[in-house]
Amino acid sequence: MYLLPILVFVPLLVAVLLLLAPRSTSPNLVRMVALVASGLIALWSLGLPLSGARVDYSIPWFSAWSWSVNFSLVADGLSTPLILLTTILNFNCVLYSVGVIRKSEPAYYFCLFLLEAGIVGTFLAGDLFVFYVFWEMMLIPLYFIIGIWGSEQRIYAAVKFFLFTLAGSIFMLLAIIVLYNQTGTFDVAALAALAPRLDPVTQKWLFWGFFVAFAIKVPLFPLHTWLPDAHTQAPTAGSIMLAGVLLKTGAYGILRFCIPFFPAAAAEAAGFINTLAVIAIIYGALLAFAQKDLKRLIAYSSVSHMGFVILGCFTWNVPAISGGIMQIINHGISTSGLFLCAGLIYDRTHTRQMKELGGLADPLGRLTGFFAIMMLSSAGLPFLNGFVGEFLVLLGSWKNSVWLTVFAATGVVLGAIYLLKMFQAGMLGKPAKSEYAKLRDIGLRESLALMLLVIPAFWIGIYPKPVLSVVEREAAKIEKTMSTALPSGTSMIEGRALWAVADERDVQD
Amino acid sequence: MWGCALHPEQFYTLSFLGVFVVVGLLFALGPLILAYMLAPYRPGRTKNETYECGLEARGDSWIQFRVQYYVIALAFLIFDLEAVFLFPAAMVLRERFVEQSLSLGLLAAVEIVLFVAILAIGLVYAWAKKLLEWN
Amino acid sequence: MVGASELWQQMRYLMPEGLLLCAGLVILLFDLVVKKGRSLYPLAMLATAGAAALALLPLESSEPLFFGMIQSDAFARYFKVFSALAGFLVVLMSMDYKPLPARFVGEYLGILVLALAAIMLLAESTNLLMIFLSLEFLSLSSYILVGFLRNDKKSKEASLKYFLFGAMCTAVMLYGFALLYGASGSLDLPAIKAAFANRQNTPLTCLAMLFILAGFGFKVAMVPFHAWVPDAYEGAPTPITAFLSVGSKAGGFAVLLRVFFTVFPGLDYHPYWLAVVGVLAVFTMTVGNVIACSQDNLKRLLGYSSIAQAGYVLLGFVVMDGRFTQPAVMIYLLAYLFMNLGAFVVVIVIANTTGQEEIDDLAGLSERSPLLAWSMFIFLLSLAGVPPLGGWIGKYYIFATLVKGYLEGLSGGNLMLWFAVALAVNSVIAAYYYFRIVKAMFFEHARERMARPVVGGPLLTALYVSLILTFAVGLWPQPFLNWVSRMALPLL
Repeated sequence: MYLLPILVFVPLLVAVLLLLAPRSTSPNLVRMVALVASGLIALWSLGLPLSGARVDYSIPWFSAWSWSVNFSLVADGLSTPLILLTTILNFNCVLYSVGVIRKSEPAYYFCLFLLEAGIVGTFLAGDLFVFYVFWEMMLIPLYFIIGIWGSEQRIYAAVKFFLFTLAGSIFMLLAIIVLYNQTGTFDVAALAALAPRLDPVTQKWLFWGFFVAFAIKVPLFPLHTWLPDAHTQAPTAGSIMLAGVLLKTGAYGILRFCIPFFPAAAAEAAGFINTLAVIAIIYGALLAFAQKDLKRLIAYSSVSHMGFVILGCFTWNVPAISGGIMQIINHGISTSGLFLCAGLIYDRTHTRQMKELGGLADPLGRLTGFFAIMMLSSAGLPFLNGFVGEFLVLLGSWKNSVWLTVFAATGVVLGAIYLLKMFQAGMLGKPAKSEYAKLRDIGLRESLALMLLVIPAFWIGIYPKPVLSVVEREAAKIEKTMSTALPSGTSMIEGRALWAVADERDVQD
Repeated sequence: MWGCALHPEQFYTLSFLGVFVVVGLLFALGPLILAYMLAPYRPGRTKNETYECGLEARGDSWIQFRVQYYVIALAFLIFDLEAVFLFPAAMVLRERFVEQSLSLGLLAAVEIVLFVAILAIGLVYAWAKKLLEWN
Repeated sequence: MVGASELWQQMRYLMPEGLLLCAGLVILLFDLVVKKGRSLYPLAMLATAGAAALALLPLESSEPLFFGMIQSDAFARYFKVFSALAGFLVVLMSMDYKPLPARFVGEYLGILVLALAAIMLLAESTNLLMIFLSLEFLSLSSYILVGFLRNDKKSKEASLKYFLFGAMCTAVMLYGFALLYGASGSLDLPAIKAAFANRQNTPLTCLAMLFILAGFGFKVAMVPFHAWVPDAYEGAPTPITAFLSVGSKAGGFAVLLRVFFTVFPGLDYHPYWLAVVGVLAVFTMTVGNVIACSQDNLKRLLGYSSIAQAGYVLLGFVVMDGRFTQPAVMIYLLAYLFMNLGAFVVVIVIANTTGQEEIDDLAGLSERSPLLAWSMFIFLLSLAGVPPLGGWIGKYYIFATLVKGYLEGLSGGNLMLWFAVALAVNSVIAAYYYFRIVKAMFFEHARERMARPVVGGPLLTALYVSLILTFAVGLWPQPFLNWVSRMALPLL
């Protein structure tokens, strides 16, 4: 019963404890507490039903003058994988950070745990009001993480990040309030039934109110400009959380609210949004290609990869949508892995410029191996996780629009090119500096952090069925909403993923 | 809103404003114009004096006054106001006692005493702070 | 005719302000006797705390008191508690405010306590004359308090500007009262309302409303009557700045609510009202926010921010609907009380440490004093309306009120949605400059030889009270919401 509130409030509690810790607390104690707490939270999150069954918790929060708010949390097939991703990545970040961060550590871990609480809360919220509270709550810690522990241009990046996301979310707030007044509830499940019945014009406005906030977070081209700055300037843990789960809250919001609440408006906007998504895929890839900075390159690759997510979500058939969801998870794994590797490289060489790197494969053998796996998973190599999502999205999208798919597919090719180029420039070739020969390879702690990402990457790549079956059930729900909402005469595409053909019954219910 | 045409009743209301403005202007400017037209114009030294009687004005009036003038003036206001309020109160107090109830009269008397007391506090305060001493 | 015993009975409704008035005089008298001004602080704290306690007593009367001059209803009681609470915190803040000359503490506290009584009277006046008197009472006390740092040029300038501007606005307001009297034949608000019942909106009443809005707008710092704010806020002793931004403003909003809800309740006035107040509110918050972005002085910045906040609250007025406007305005003011006073507490500590109040003086505060830095951060977040803090609940209800007005098809509904959008855009602008302060505190490093701020007991108490209540209103708003909805004016 308290499964869900504990997931939200324990990180919060740990965060507050760390903040209130007296100045004399030894840094080792702080690190220990952070490590143990985040590990326990990750373990606790494994208690969520991995089958994607629905769990919920709800108590009234406050009500006055015909506005009432419940503090309700819900976990289901869509949120459970993302919560697992969050808690594991948080553990990963702490594991990495204990060896690196030396500046006001209690405050640092305070921010990490607050961020975790905010993100988990965002994924769990079963009430729009609660969702908004958590949605805003994640902004603050990341703002600090970038602004205090980031690199040279950190302040500019932090402020840009904050203002962009705030601007998006304030309009979402307006949409939430309008939605409440039209339907009389903040409850997400109830709204999924009520909101689609609103008149089309209202739906359209509300859809865009929500969508812009989420699109900024995702980020969708042309609203992506905050991302490269934030990523480049953030410390490694910040980049990991940002790329790994924070961007996902946007995609999650689209799948959870935008599409089920306003299917008619979503159907109307799908063409336009899909075009933007494909532009993002190609534009992001091209820009990534042109980058000299390692982290900036990965950041632009995020823009490109998140384009696949949007393309999948707005193509109304099961393979595409489940591909989109898979891509959310996969991108979370691969890109955080890439950022982690980039961070480890930076810690050793103190540069992110690719032309000042090179030849690291020799001294940093283990790191190079992990980096290669992560790079290939990001490039979508079969038998690694990245392939599953992109393949399904392209498969579904093909039935929708051949041209969009062709353009999107070039993104995959471009992705392989710039990722290989990045790997080559960074790890292969001649060392740019002679002192690189003396670099220390990663140790047990860092390897463990990377293993935490490599294992799921292989697992999803080789045997995706357990995850995919959960994801496809969610995708089927969304497809059903869409097929009832779309005007009759629009033929829905009967598509099934390769792996799902045998699981017809699973999909049916 | 503003766009609405003037209702006859509204026009009636507004016409008062118009009449008020015109009469007000006439009242203010009329005597000036009359004086300008009727009064004989014979300037002279004595005529241009600030005061036509009393001491002769000397020097410039644009000089700094001691700020204490204002303090004393304020203290004077205490008595001034007191008189202004006490007089009408005194006029009706008897009426209160005789024609209405004793208690109402007492209440009024107490109120007046309180009023005077508060003003007195002001005076005491000024006195104790040595604001009435001229140095 | 009301009998003496009845009048005596009615006195008990005035206990809080009676206590404050007596306390004010007693403090002034004590000031003559005791040599050390500081010993008067406990007296002032006792008086404000006592007034708050008395105001919390459920003594309400729906009948007009004192020949219709005063109505001591729940609404008035709300603002009595509000002003006594604000007063208590301001007294606490003054205790450690260094620039205050010790010789004049008696005068300072006496006048401050009297000003609090004036706010209470303002909130319960139901007669135009009484409103004018209380407003002037409050204004005159404020003029003196603003100019209290006699040797400081800025303080003197502030006081003079405030006075000149206030005199002008009050004069215009008085003209409005006169027009209202002329149109209705009475000074009593209920009688004026009765006179206007079933009558059309005439140009005369419109003019009267506008003129009255000037006087009240001056108190709440509404554009275009805001020009005094930056100078007065910067020049005044910081606790007084805090008092002006919270107490004086709340008094203005109280009387605004009462006059416009008792006199002009009909929907007949609605479109006119909507256009004028809504546009003014949007101007108020935009001007406040945009200019605040370029301020380097903390007090000036908070001054412009308080103009913007007044704009947010004014938007609540746009929906002239008793069910929503009042509670929204009242809960916003409550949250604003704590977050804004809290921010000023930090400003005082900073000024005590470095001797000035620039944003630069906050540089690296997170290293020098984490407590102050995080508290200031919480107050700024709350001012920016970030959940789950008090300011956010306030802003949420303002938003909700506008949307409700829009959806219930009140005339000019579309306009309301645009007002809500303007509020949203302004929230982002506001976040920019609030976060400039956060940036200085957390991202920049302290200059050399910057002392670590020391927070004394009274300031610490004020800080904790503000902090806890800022959190409480946001995290557990239910009791506050219940309280506010019970204290709203009865619907007409």
